[in-house]
Formats: sequence, structure tokens, C-alpha cells
Amino acid sequence: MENDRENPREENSGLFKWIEKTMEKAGRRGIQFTVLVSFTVVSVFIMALLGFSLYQRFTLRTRAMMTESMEQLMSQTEANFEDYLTSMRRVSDAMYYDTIKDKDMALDSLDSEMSLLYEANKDNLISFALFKRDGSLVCAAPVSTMKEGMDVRQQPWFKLAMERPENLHFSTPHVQNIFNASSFRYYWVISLSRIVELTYSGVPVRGVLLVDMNYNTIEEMMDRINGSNSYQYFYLCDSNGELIYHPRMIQIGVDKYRENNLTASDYEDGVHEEIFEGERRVVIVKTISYTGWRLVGVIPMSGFRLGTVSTQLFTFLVLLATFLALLLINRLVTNRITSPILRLNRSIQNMDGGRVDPDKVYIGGPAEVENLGRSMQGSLRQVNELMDDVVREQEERRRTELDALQSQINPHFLYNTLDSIVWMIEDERNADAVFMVTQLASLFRVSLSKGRTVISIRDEFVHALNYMNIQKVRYKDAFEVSWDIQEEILDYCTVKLILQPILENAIYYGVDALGDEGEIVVSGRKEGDDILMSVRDNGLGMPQEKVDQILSDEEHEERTHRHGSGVGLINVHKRIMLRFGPRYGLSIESEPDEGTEVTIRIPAVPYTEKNRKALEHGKWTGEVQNEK
Amino acid sequence: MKNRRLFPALVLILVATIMAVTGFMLWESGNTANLRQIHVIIENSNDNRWVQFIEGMKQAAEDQEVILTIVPTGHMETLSEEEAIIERAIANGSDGVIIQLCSSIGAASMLEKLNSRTNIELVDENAYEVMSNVVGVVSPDHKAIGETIANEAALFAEKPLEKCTIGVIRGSSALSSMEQRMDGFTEALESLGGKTTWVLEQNGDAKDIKEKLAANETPDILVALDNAGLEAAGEYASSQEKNMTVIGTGTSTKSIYYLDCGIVQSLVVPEDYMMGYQSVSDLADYIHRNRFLPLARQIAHRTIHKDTLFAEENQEILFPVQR
Repeated sequence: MENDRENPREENSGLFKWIEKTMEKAGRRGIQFTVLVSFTVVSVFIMALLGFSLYQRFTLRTRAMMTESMEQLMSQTEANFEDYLTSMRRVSDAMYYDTIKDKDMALDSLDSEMSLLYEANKDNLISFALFKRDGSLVCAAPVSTMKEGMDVRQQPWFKLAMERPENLHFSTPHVQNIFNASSFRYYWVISLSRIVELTYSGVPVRGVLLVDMNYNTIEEMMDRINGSNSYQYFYLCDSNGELIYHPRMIQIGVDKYRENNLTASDYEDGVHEEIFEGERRVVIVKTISYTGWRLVGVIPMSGFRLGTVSTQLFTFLVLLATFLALLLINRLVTNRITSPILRLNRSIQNMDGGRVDPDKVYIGGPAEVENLGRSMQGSLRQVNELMDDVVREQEERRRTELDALQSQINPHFLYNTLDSIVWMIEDERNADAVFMVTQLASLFRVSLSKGRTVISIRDEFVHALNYMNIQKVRYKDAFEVSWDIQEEILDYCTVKLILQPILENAIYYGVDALGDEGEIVVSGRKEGDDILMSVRDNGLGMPQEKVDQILSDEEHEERTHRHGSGVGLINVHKRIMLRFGPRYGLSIESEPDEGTEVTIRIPAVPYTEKNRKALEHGKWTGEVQNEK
Repeated sequence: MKNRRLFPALVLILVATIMAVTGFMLWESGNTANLRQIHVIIENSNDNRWVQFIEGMKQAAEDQEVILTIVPTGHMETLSEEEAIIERAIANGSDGVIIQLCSSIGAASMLEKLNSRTNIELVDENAYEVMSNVVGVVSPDHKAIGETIANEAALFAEKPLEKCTIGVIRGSSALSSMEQRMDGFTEALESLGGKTTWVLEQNGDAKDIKEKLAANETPDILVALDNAGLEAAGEYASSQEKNMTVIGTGTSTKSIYYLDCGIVQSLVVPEDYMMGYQSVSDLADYIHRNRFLPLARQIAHRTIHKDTLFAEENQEILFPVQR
């Protein structure tokens, strides 16, 4: 019992899990899709439910209507049959009670009365005939001769009349075969026979009165109700199930069609359901009084449903059209509901990818979405303000760092130069001292540059020249310096004092140890949108690992600790990158015992006041301003 | 992106399906409105011998929902006459023609000409040379009918067959069906010890056959191999003083009447109702569904004597209720 109780719960939880999973999947596809699918599923479900209920109702109603109309039709036909059969019985009665009973057969003839009665009813009759008990013909109308050798006592209608004298008997249809066929014609008849009392010279004897009814009359009545409806049909059988009429009588005769007449004859009057030859059908039975004949109406169940192909196709078409209409309406409704949410979503879609203008946030749609938009707009404003603060702070920090790096150069170089001048003066090399001081003055003029950090390349090379002049004096021309500079690059912008530290390195780590063979080549050229300035020496060079380390922060830290000056290639590299971006800076190529070449890459920005100021304030966008 | 494509695709599929279903329904309704028409061309179409055959065809036409037109014809002398009638049927928009050949000679070439323009179903005749030019053939087993007639002759002969004079009325020798009946009859008769005394060929002219009969010796057994022959034989036997045994095949009321009167002793009746029903069913099936049929169908035949004439199982076949 416990298990029984748990199973439905498990099933339910499984179902709920499936629904949850499906909803989750749909949720991942977006709100519009989810709403559309949900609406469509719900409406299709409701439509299916409604359709099924209506279909059931339609089937029941159709069945009730068809059965009712069939019953009415059958009642009408039953009444017609009863009228017809009653009239036939009356003809027989009239013949017997009004004529035969009044006559003495030994003296009187029946011919005229019989002919008269026949003429009056010949539309429904084929013949009248009166037989004696021994089977001999007393008289007939129309006047006919019996077939030679014919013994009517062997005929079923004769036997039946003799066996049950109290009743009138209706036979099943048969071809009349008593009389010689006139003009090669044979008639289908239903024989109505009865026992009659004939008087011969006052002596009563038994005889049989035969009324052969025209089968065509019955057939016409049945054909009328069978009409053209291909679903339903009617047939007539006697109380034993022997067929009297069936629309496919001949096919049944040659065993090409079957009917359930033997079973149907046992049915009570009313509506019955049966399965015959694998087909479910409704059978309505009515008994025609006196004869015991059964009028049977048959409606195959398929007639109540969507029987024909065209009806099925039409239903399918309606279903498809309804589904399409539902889909379109649902799409419309879904759009109306989700459109404000989607617009809001689109307006804030790039929020995490960068700065979003709060004024572009969608405000509209239903009150809830509008509130959401307003909240989002407020939040974005705050976020933007905070971001502005962060940017300002970072800019400030950058400038401070730049200034700090730049200020590191001056004491380092000044210390070395002044040391050289002191030695010159002590050695009384006054001219050299004057030259040195002049070069130093020029060097400081460029260094100061009215506090600017961006100067022209021309000034940078002047600065480098001053520096190298000072160093050459100091090193007693122990190395050669050559200059290879394109004239066109001189009026472009550069960060101040970037060549000097490289030259310093070329001297200290390159040519210092070579004696008189040291050679430094300074070059400058334009390459595309970039300016390349390089310092090449033929000094000791260095291995690749060392090259890789030079521009890294670790190396910078190490050297700072080792030399204490903090000045070096890394400073220049960082300054260029801070000013122009990560694409620019230094690159080093070196081979041990071959020499080293350090190349500076900066963008070719024409030296104008506007460009200079933009660079000074860190607002260079990367686009080269060519106006001079 | 996927979702954006899904909706129009679904709508497109639905619209396409709706259009396809609507198109199919319109085509269907057009087809229903234009019911297919089958023409039937048989010799002497009003002849009473065709009653059962036509009733079968009517029932099949009702079941298969086709329009059946029995072309009114008389005696067809030549194939060209018959061809002209078929041509008229084709010109009237016939979807299929059921024909009974008036001659097997030259029928193959005629059918070959017509075959491409309409669907042809052959009844009563089963000449092998025409098979490739027709949709199907429905016919009785003519040879078996001939054999049955010979056996019945032996059964009803008042003296041993070898001592009997036997006259035969046969149909046109131009028909292979008649040749088959004749062969079947002759072979069976000879195996029973009998021998034909004379053979008359009738061509549908009643006066001509009467004259021919009068010119010949009155036989002990008169055999008719077709309906017209049996009617002539019945009439001839009823006018003769000499008792003779008349055996034959036929389906007309007149033939049945002669059996009923005792003039004809045995009647071999092909189930013409089934021949009519099957021929229309098969042809309609082919026209509606392009379904190939069994090329040749054989229908059964019954042997009826006077005492079984009105038996329940024979009444429906021999005396079909005419609608």
C-alpha cells in the first residue's frame, strides 16, 4: 500500500522535474521565446481539449441525429409497409369473405369477381389463384394455365397455408413458377397464401387462396429509402432472417457480399450496436406487424465520425489554420509584452563592456519596466561618475609617475658631468671645461624645455648631441659617434630625454671596455606612421636571456638595487608606453661580442602646439594629427 | 539567431502545408465533380441476353462511382463498324471502354490503334493475341462450357451417343471464343463416342438460321453453342414433331423459358452478372488508381436443369431484379 502511495508521487516529481528542465532550457533561449512557447503550448492544449470535447459531442450528436432521422424514416417506411400489406390482406379477405364464401364452386364461377378484383389492384399484384386441397387450380386472374406437371402442393406457400390454417402467410421473394410464362416473362413475387373453405354442392372443402404480390412494389419502397447515402442502408428480412430485400441482393446471392441478417432477425426492436466483419455499426430494427418482417437500418460507426477523406482533410486544414492563427496572435501578444523588456535589455547590453550613456537607457513600456529603466539609468549615472573619478585618479597617478621617472635622470647625469668638469678644471683644461659647461647648459635648456615633457625630435637630438659631446670629452674620445638622421623626422614629437639613457648604456655597457675601437651609431628614420630612432654599438653585446630581462620589471628592480640610480632602458620604455600606448617603446637586438642595437619606436606625430598639448595631457587618441 | 529563424520557418511550413492541403482538396473536389465515364459496347445491347451482365455492371458502377453508358448497338457485322462506335465513345470523353468483340480476326491491330487513346477492357472474348493491347479481360471458360454441353448431351441422350445424330448451331467462326467452345465440345463429344452430324454457323440473322435448320436432317440431339443459337434451337425444336434433346448455353429469358417448358433439357449459364460486375470494377480500379489488374479473369458457369431452374441459389442469377 505504501509503495502504491509513493509511486504516483515519484511519477509526479519526475513530471515536475521534466517541466522544470524544459522551462529552464526555454529560459536560456530568451524571454520572447519562452513566453511564445508557453502561450502556444497552453493555447494548443486548450484547443486540443476543446476540440476533443467538441468532437466527442459532435460524434454523439451526429449519432443521435442520424439514429433519430433513420428511426423516423424507418417508422414512415414501416407505416407504408403496413398499409401496403394490410391492403394486400384486405384484398385477400375481400376475395375470400365477399366472393369465395358466397359461392358454390360446383355451380358458380369466380372468374369475373376475381378478374375484377385483380384489375382493381393490378399495380400491386401479379396474380390471384385459388387451388383445391389436391393442388388443382380452381380459377386464376389473369387467366393462365398451369405448367404441365406442376404440383403446387410442393410449393412452400401451399405447405405453410396447410400447416397453419389459422393465419395468412407471406413468403420470401421468389420467381413465380406456377403458370406458363406469357411472352417469356418471369415475375418476382411475394406469395400471400391462406386456407379457404370452398363449397362444392353444399359440401365444404379446403382450398388455398394465393395472392402473388408484385415484388417491385416492395423493392421500390426500399429503394426510395436507400437513396444515395453511401453510409447507411436498409434491408428487409423475415422473422427467420431470410432476406426479402437488400440493396446488394445479387452480390449476396453469389457470395460476394455478406450481411448479418440472421443475427439481426433475433434483435428486439430498437437501436443496437454490433461488430460485423470487423466493422462497428449501429443497427436499428423495426418489426412490421403481422408479417413479422424486420426492417433493418445499418449505419457504420465511421458515418458518425469524420468519415470521408474530404471531411478529414477539412478538419486537418481547420486545425492547421487555427494553429497558424494561434502562433501569429501569440507572437503579436508576446511582442507587445516583451518588446519593452527587450528594448531595455538592448539599451544596457554593453554595460559590462564599457561606458554606457545613461540617457540612452530605454525608459518606457509598462510601469514595471519603466521603473526598472529609471533605476538602471540612476545606477549608470552613479557608475559613470565613479568611473570618471577613478580615471582622474589614475591620470594623476600617471603624471606623478612620469614626473618621478623624469626627475630621476637629472641627478644621475649631473653628478657624472660635474665630476668630469671638476677633473678638467683640476687638470687646468679650461677650454675643455668651458666646452663642457656650454654643452651642459645647452643640455639643461633642452632638459627643462619650459617644463614640457614632449619636445621635438630635433631638440631631442640636440640634447643627445650635447650629452655625447660631454661624454666624449670625459672619455677622451675613446669611441667614435656617428649620426645618421633623416631630416624629415626632426619636426615630429617625442617624449623628452629618451635617447640619452640609451647612449649612456651604450657607453657604459658597450664601448667602454673596447678601448679606442668603440663605435656608436645614432640613426633616425620614418617607417610608415612610426618614427624609429636607434643606437647601435659594437660593444660586448649580451645573450638573448639578458636581452629578454632588460625590459622586464624584475630586472628594473634588481638594477635599481644594484646601481641605486634607477635610471635605465626600462624607464625610457615605460615612459614611451605610458605616453603612446603598449605598441610603442624599445626593442633590443644583441649578439655577444658583436654589439647591441636599441631601437625606439614612437608614432609619427607632427610637432604642433595642439599635438604637443594633447600628448602632454595624455589625451592622444592614437590618430596622427598631420596638420602642422 | 536560432530562435529568430525558427518562427518564420514554422510559419512558412504551416502556410505551405495549408496551401498544399487546400490544393489537394480542390483537386479532389474537381475529380469528384468530374466522375469518370465508362462506355460499354456490346453487340445488340438491348438483347435480353445481356440483362444479367448489365445489372452486374450497374452495381459495380454504383460501388466504384463511375458513370456507365451502355452504347445502343445492333448487330455488328465488321470490326470497322465496332471501331467507329468505339471512336465515338472516345470522342465523347470516355475514360474507358468495355467491349465485346464482334470478330477476333484483325482485332489486335484495331485495339493497338485505340489502346493509346483510352483504356480498353475486353469481355466475353479472350483471344491471346489481343492481350497486350487491353487493360484486362473478363470472360467465361469457353472450352469448359463446350465440354459441359457435350457431357450434358450424353446425359440427356435417349440412346447411346454413337447412334445419335447430332446437330450443332454455333456462332461466328471469326470469334476465338466460339472456336474454343467448339473445340471443347467436339473433343469431349468424341471422347464420349459421339460425332457431330452437321454444324450450322449462325450470324445473328434469325431467318437465315431457320432456313438452314429446315434444310438439314432433324437431329436426335440439337446443340447450341451460344444464346442466339439456343433461342433458334428452342424455336426449331418446339415446331418439330420429332422429340429431340436440346442442350445449349444461354442467358436470355427466352432460353430460360425453353428450359422451363421442357424444350431445352439442359442449360449452361455463364455467370454474366459477375462478368459485368468484375469488368467495370477492374476498369474503374485501373482508371482511378492506375492499378494493374490480373490481365485475364475467368468467370464461372452453372448447369441448370428444369428441376433446378427455380432453386433459390439460381433465381438471383437467372432472373436478376432489373433496376
